[in-house]
Amino acid sequence: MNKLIRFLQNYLIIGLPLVVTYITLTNIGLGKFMHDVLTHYKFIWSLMGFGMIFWFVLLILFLISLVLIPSAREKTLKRLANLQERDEREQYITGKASRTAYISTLSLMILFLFFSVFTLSIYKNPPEKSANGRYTLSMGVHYTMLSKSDVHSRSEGTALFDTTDIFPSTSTVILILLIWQLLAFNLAARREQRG
Amino acid sequence: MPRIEGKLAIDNCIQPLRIKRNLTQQDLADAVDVTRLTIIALEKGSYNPSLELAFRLANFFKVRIEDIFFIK
Repeated sequence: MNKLIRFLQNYLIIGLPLVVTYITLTNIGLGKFMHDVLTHYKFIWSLMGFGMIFWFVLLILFLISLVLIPSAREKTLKRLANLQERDEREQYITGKASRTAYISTLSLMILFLFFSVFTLSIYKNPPEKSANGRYTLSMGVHYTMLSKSDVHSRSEGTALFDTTDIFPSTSTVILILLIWQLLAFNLAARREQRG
Repeated sequence: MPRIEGKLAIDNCIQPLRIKRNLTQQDLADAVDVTRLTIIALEKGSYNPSLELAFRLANFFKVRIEDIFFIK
């Protein structure tokens, strides 16, 4: 199993520049030119395309293996998280830094959860309804389990401010959490190391 | 039974013992199977070792634990 994981790691790392080149060339429109016009590049271009598909399939397998196989997770993510546990002091530092990262990430996740379920909107009322005031402030709590629904105030006016418009996408939230956790861990570990 | 409150300020004499034996920090680190950074932290007093490491240090220097570690 370890050999397979090592093969996947090496293939993904070695193939990365090719995949980036392929995607860049395709995005700037050069890919179609190379495929259509330069006939002797056609084969290489098609081969690169298949290589890229294979690379992404292996990437998916690798990411699944990280979740399911503890040894793969240990080897790969230890490097990413910059975990050093050569002796008891480093294990102690890792423990303290993990605690800090866990607590701070938990607080961030609670904040994100709050902002994802809480809605606040300020609407400017249409002239025909301005008898009740010029603005409508609406607050609510909304939780959806499967996907982000289009939650907006039922007010008919022009939206001046709506929290549903400023909340980041799921990918952004996950990226923020990932960066936050890595930073929190590394900063705490550095602080501990300085004593 | 007497209660000890707060964090104890523990000091050690690892550095004098090491210098007395003409050892580098790396030599001592290798002898007790830790990194040089741990020896630095121990000598600075910024890290209190586990009981196991304290015993290893005491065995290495051929002294008792309380001859190395003491309360300030």
